[in-house]
Amino acid sequence: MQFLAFLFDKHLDKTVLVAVLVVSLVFLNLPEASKVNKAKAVTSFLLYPVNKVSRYFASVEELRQENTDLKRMVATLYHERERLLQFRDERNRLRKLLGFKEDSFYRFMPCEVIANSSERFLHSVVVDRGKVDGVKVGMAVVDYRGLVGRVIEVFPHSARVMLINNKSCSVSCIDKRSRVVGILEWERGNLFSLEYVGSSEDVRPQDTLITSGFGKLFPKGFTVGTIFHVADEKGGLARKVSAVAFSDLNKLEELFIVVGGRKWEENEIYDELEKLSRKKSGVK
Amino acid sequence: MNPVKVLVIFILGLILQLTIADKVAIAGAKPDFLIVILVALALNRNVIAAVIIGFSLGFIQDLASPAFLGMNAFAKSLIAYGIARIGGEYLPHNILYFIALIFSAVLINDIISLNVVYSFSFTNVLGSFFRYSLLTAVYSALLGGVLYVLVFGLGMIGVVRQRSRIE
Repeated sequence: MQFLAFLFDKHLDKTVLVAVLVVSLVFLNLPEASKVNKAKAVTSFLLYPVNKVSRYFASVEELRQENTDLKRMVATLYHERERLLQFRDERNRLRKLLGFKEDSFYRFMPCEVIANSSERFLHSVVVDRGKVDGVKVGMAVVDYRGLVGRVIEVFPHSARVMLINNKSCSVSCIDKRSRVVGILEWERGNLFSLEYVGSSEDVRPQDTLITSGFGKLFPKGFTVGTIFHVADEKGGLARKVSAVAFSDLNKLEELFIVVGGRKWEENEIYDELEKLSRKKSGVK
Repeated sequence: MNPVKVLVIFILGLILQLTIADKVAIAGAKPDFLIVILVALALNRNVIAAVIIGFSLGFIQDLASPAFLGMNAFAKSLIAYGIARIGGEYLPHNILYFIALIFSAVLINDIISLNVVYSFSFTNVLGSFFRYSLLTAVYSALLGGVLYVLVFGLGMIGVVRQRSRIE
């Protein structure tokens, strides 16, 4: 105790000096590799705030670049839309001439998967939108890649969606290229077979399958999958067509419920864009 | 002076040393901004604070060249102790003593560093000492004088007024 009092009470300054000198000498006598490693560790610790700030500014730069790219994309899409609007008008005129009924395109309600079914062959998921959100039995469910399934049960705040990889679910599809119709049925994993395709039908690998809208179970025109193998059955009248779904049905997270159609003439997005560009240019 | 200000001065000194010192070198001798800062900081502090500042400054300098990790920490701790003990207590605060302290501090720092780098080889240490260290010491001392005038000279009137008011 007396020794400690001597060190820390009477000669604290000299004790501190000796301590730092000893620490310096210990560092000086470390092997070179160890010195470098320790210096690296200390430097990275000390420079952590600097790195963080520099990373922040780097991300700002990335965002600026992304913003520029998005602006360019918006401009391109704007022109593309103009072109499509002309096609729309032309198409509607032609449909009227042919006496076809007016058709519509779809509104989507985003939702998240909150539960998966545990059954092996009757795959379904539960999503976080229900009756209060306007979900009804029979509505189609898609993700950003394509068709996923159909609402089969609705609760106040959630809904059960039967997936297309369910043994009791069949989807009427059309080959987008050749317009050949078939019924898509699940086999295993993400693999499906397109049934009822005649041996003389024109189906090829890499053809895209879209919903046909027949039977009114699924709306028309949603991508479902792609054909990857076509084989003729021996002596048979049909072809064995294998397809793979676009959506990864085992890893579903964010989905969209197709809640209804809207007329081609409605210009909601276009109007929003107009508003934005007006706001930007300061024109009322 | 709070630790944040000390840290800011540290960083400023390091930046000056790493960026400007090489560019303003004369005949291979470059000014030692860190010693100037160390002397300035150690003069107005108690011995323990000065030693800790010296060790930290030296250690940070060592991180830039880890092959001799501990060398500058050792030298600068000793210098800080000496300045706080002798300079702070016995010497008057004026520009001439400030310059003299920087001159001595650079020489002591170089003697320790050269001995570590040349593993106590007397001829090498002596050669480098006369070739670079003396000139570095003169250069740093003059630079210290200029900084002293810039920092204290401009605020001198205010400082004198404050002191007279206290007295």
